[in-house]
Amino acid sequence: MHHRIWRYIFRMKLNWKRTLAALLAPLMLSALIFGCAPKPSGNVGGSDVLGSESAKGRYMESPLLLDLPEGVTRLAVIGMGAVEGGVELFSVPHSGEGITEPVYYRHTLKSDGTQSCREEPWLAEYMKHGGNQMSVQRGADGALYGVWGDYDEAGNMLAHILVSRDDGKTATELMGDGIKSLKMITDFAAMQDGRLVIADWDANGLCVLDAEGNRIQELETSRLQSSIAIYGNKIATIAPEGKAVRIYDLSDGSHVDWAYEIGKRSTHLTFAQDGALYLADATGIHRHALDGTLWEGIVDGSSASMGISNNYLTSLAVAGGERDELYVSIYKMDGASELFRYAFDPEAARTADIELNVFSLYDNEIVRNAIVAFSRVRSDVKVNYTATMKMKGGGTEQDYIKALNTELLAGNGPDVILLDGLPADSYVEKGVLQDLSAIVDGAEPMLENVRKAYEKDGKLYSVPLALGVPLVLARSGGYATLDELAGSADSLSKKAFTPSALGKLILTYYGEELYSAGDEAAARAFLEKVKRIAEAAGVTANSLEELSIGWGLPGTQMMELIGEDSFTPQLATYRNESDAMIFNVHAVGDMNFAFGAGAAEQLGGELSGIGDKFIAEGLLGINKAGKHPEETAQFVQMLLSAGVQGTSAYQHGFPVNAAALDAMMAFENDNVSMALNFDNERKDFFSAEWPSEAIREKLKTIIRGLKTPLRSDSALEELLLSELVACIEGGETPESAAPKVFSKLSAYRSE
Amino acid sequence: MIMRVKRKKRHSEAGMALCFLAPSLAGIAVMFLAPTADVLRRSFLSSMGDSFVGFGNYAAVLVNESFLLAMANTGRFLFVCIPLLLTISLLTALLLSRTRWCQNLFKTTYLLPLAIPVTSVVLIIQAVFHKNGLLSTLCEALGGAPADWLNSEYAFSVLVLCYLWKNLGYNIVLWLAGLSGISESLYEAARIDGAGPWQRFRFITLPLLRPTAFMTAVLALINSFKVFREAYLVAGRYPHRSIYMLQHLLSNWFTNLDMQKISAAASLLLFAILLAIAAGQFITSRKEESA
Repeated sequence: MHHRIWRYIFRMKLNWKRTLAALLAPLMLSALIFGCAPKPSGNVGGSDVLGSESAKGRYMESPLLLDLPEGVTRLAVIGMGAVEGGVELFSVPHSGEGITEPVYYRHTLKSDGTQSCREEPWLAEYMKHGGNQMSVQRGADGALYGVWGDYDEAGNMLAHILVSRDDGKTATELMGDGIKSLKMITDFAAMQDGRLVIADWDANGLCVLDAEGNRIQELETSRLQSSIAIYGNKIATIAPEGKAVRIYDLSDGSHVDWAYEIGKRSTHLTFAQDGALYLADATGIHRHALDGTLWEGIVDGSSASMGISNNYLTSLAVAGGERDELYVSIYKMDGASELFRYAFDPEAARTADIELNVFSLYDNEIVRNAIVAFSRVRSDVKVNYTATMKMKGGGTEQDYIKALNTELLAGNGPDVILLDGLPADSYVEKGVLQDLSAIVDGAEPMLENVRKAYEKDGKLYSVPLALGVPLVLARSGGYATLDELAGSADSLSKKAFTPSALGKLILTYYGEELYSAGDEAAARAFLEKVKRIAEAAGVTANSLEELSIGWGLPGTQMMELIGEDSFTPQLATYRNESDAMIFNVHAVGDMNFAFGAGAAEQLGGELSGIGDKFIAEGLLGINKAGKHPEETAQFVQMLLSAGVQGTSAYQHGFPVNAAALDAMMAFENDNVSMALNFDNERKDFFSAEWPSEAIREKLKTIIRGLKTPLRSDSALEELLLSELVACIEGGETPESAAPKVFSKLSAYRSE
Repeated sequence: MIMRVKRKKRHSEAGMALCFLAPSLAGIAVMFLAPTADVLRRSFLSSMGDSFVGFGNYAAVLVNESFLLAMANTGRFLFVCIPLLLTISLLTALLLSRTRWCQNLFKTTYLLPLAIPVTSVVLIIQAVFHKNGLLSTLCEALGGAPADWLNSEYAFSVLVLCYLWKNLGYNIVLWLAGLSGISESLYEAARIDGAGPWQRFRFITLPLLRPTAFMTAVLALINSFKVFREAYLVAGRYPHRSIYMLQHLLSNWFTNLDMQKISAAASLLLFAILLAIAAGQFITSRKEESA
């Protein structure tokens, strides 16, 4: 009987197991199927919960134009703060060549869009010469404070603080002992009782002064950046290590850190009326409740003006109301300011309806600027930009290319691809890229010569976003081809090139002759010319030790300082020894161009291109399998627009947009004066100013005549450079190196 | 009646076996069979899979200089390395099995290279075989000329050496396991019958090691493909042509989005491997028949 019962139970147990397994099987199957299923396209998050309607409400950026006083064309904002119903800000006229006259204005901007402007004579009375590091703020005590810096007779920096307790009718300068030790005030704020909290460039921490300017105490802060915000007895600043925002409570002497990775570019803090702290930097605007523990993202910097590379935040203010309104002033490279308001729009979609993906190996500022500009016209489209080599994953180029190829083979991939470092020719051959002709036709006019350089059989699969131009400044000789360079190599500097630098220069600018070599003899002929150039330019295995210019440093140390860029030693020797220098320029404001142009005017010589060659900076292609062709076309047209291309006269490369190029070439900055030192004592130097109109016109003519894009193939260059360097150093002869070079070349080509 | 019961039992056992095998079969189907089928399909299509090209990809691959070079190098590497590794490791295992003195110490020492991460191995290779490395310095000290060992014809020997150094210990352990499975009484009986050491090795050890030899050879073959990691990290995408292996080529093709060539090459390799297996089976069956 017992046995029967146990057998029954055992059987039951077995059945239970089977039953359980049978129940689990469909569960696992459904988990497998639905777990692997693709996520629903479009909005993720709120839409799933609320149904098909997407969540609404977000902060939108809108530019603010200040009413300019009569006769003033541009203003520089020197301070901003919240007032009842809006913000007030202080400005000074700016001509683009510096501050024109010591006239100061106060603007009051109301949330309803009205604004007023009045002159502030009390500021002009003290800040007569414009000064530097000027800033005007209203303190929590209601008084107006102005700070500026100048120099004493011995040339030491001095900081000044001015206070007006009657709203600008009269003002007095604070003369307390705490002020005498200040050199350059980088930020400040006043508390309700008149105490001043000051960040000084020369000090290790924040200084707290009493209402008379006498030092009371010091607080720790970051030396890298300074920003101060006051709320009652609380002071917000950047923590010493730059890894948090620190809140000091002066009532009990305590402090608390709110973790935040402070970026390299300017960061600004300000408190709202409810005590919430706002932080603005290049990544956007973030909010932290006074009793909270998290930062809330309010504005995404990747689609806002603060995210543009050449924009530097100068002020942040929060105007109260039903929802806080944010005001940001931005300093442009030309010295003028732009003002933006961020207001909550309850009707704007919280998440974009459409997402465009842009891929590149290397970060491209033009793309970043275009994303900001595009988000203003298409707030329903979010552009995600992935510059893989900038990511913290630590992958190699090959890893990222393979990951991209996997996506492309699966019929997916980004909508827009920057082809720098990617196998562009192969993508065209495989039909990955879309013909851009119609899109470029619909965009603002681009340089016709550049467009033609990329047309293949009437189709346009890629266009550069900007250009780098290799230039030659020479008193004699020709340099358009390798033959000409070999013939004129005696004119080159004898102290400017390491074997590697010369090898790279030749491969970059003249490598095509080798890449197209049909046999070993052609490779040998190329190497013989290289050897001849190396001998004429005095480049040997020991070149590194012989390069010293006048810095008194061994060549190895000098090269650590200036890298493999041979521009500085070339310029140093062009003054009295050599007759030619070869260099690459990317913008009118590029240092190489400024010094090169200066050398042409001061030392003589003809400026020319290397034949009609140019370097594409950011080669743009569109994935034929992209999911949003209309938006992609619109974004590409934005990339090619003058507004985006002409953002900076100092970097990024020369615009391919014809109007932007003309504007860049017309741009002048008389404030620029620079010097390149060739010795430690700064006695031996070369100085230059902004390139003259004639030189700029010359460069424009060169650019408009460029027809041949230089091949950008880092793998091939890397493959051949070692052989070339061995040949230059003398470890190999052209005869012995030629079979190896041709063997590598043919293996590469036969793949 | 008994027959029916047996048949029923067999069916139930087969069903049970199938249930147990199902997960791994599914895994093989998803991870191996389906990709293989996709590769075969792609080998007849253009790179992006949008047009049929027939045997065009095969024709292109078979006349591709790089493919022929990579095939030749890979074949040469396998042909040199596997016999060398099997022979050296067997001889070392025999020596170790005959001595009790520090056997474990030797085994551990030989196994150490397996425990060293690839990046460290690469550093060691570069420190020793770089143009200005240890070996060149030694050559100079002895009056010889330094050489760029990794960027010359020596590169192949360096890679072979690296492979042997890394895999020797593992194979020794496998051989030792096989040797320990041979009964000592067989050797004793052979000695009584007057067999010498060579005869005992030839007629007892070698035949009884055949299963171990098969497994060791297969593992050596698999490990030989892993040497690509070292070759890639030491010499990059385009190493000296003597160590330019199939993996280099396939990796470079993928970088250039030449999926059609990869598919055709992989199909050809698969065909070659299947052919080799079939030939092996044919030879074995002929031997068994003649025996």
